[in-house]
Amino acid sequence: MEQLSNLRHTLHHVIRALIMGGIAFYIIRLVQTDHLTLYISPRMTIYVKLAAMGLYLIAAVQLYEAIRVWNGKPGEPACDCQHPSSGSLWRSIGVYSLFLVPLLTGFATPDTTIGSAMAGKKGINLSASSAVNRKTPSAAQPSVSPEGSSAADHSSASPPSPKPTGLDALFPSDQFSESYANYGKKIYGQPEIVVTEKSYMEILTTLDMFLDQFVGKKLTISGFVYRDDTMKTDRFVLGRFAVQCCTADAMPYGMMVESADPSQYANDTWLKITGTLGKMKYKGNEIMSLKLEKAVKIKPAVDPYVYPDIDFGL
Amino acid sequence: MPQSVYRWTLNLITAGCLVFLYLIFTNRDLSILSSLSTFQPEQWQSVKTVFTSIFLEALPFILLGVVVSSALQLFVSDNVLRRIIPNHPIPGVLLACLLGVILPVCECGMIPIVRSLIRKGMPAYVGITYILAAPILNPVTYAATYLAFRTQHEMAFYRMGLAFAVAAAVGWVLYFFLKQDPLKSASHSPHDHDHGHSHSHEHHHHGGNKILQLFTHASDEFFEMGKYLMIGSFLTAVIQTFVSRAELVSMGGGQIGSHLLMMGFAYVISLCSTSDAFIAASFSGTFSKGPLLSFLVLGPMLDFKNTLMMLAVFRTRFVVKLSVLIVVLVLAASVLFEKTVLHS
Repeated sequence: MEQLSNLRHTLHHVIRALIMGGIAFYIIRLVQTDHLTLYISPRMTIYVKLAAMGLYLIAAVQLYEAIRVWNGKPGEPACDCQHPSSGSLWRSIGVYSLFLVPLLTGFATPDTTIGSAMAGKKGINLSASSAVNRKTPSAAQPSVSPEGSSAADHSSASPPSPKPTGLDALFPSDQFSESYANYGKKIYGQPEIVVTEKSYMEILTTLDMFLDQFVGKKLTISGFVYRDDTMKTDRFVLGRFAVQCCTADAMPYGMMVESADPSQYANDTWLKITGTLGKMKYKGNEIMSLKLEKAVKIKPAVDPYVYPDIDFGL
Repeated sequence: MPQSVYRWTLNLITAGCLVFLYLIFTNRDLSILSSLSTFQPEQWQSVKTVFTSIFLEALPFILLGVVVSSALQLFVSDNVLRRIIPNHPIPGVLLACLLGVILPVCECGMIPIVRSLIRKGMPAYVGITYILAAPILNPVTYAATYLAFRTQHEMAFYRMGLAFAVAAAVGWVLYFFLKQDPLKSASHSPHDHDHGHSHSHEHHHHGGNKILQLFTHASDEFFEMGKYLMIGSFLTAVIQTFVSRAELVSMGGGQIGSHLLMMGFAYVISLCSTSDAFIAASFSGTFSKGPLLSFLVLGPMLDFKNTLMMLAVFRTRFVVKLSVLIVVLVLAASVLFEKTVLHS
């Protein structure tokens, strides 16, 4: 009886050590293959790496305990916190397979990214500034809260300033849209606007916020192709997923593209497109669109996701 | 053994009920099930990707949670804790609401910590208030909300204020009505010892290496909480992959309807409180501030993943009652807030 219980204890410790070590090893492998950012945004990866180290440590202690118990030493401290051995055999098998099955699946299947199928479920964001700025009253109405108005007085762009001229008139801003307006002024004079990977969302937001100023400009953007039933046949969306913390919170951002012959670009194809900015009506809203002039098939980006640009507007 | 079987069936039934509730509310009959059977391989790859990402994101916080909780059990004596925590419900609940400012642990790590604290003699209502308040009332979440609503910074204040009100209200309701120990009893099989946890730690850690015990203890709790994290992440990933957001949004009719819808949405997507503000902001074209606040306040307090983890620690009946209480209070608070402050 004593023997059997020792064996069971040892087994429990060994299995736990294997699972925890396995999870840690899985993370290390993701780091080594540079695939960790397929799941977690770069600013969170440090915590996941620390967690892997912690798991290794706990796994090592578990192995040590297993050896101690195997040698007949009283391993477990005699407390009533969940003994690993409590519960039936089947229950233990059930619990451990809950960990083992996903872990083995993780090792056995290739790391993939989410693509146009997921974008369809999440709903692609074609009017990037709507998340930042509701075009209707909120931009016009000053601020409701006293905190807001006092903060506005401190900022440079306070409402009662003398009549703006030149660029300032084209890019009116309040304290919140200031960074976008400044960026708008910066790219306004450029012959061609490039939507970079680093500030993908921010540039799309700027374009959308001051769309009237940018209509007719040349623009280059890359991303994956997405289309659904609600779009006319000569259109598709080129977009990227923006990730805050992990892939679960990814939001697709994109640009509607008009093309004479879009059928040659299947969903999930990666393209680099140059075209002319315009606007169109889609589902009752005015959105920005791009008239395709040149499209090049490209390899999917090494890191398929884009992230908020913390340096934007500094 | 029959007890454990009972517990598992109960959990399975709960999960099943949730799925069917969803099906009933969406009027989809069983079309979702048939869409599951005619799945495309990419969709299952998406499930795997989303599952892994949720698991990896929660992992550091869970580990931190179980290590802190084990350290509390081993190193902090009950007396110390009793002296720190105010006995009176008013300062007790207020303190619990604001504790998140100093100890911001995300909701996944919180549950094992609070269990240890309650076992050590912290009043349960204080512990629950802390679980509800800390994921929202902390600097990280405040900053994230502030950033996400760039043109509507007041949303961050509103979110903090409503969360504070709801958490404090839940705390006081529990103070008056919670008479039973909400924790699951630690001994559920016959060969477990039947002595209470509180005194068991005073005598038995004879010699030995406390650090080793800490790790063993942490691993026990990791597996205890981890299995719920696994189930929760998996179901969340399935929901995210197969349920279209546009269809979900189209269901919300009427004023209360849109609140309920956003609350339901917050419940099923089970995001961390640091990133959900960005999702809420992406809905600001579709919904007014009231439903968005419902989403922002309910999500961190109550979601699918954390319900499963609460069931690991608290009695099922308690979890059900607590969930109903939270839903009612969040709905009432945000509707009231919308009618008074936002419409004035």
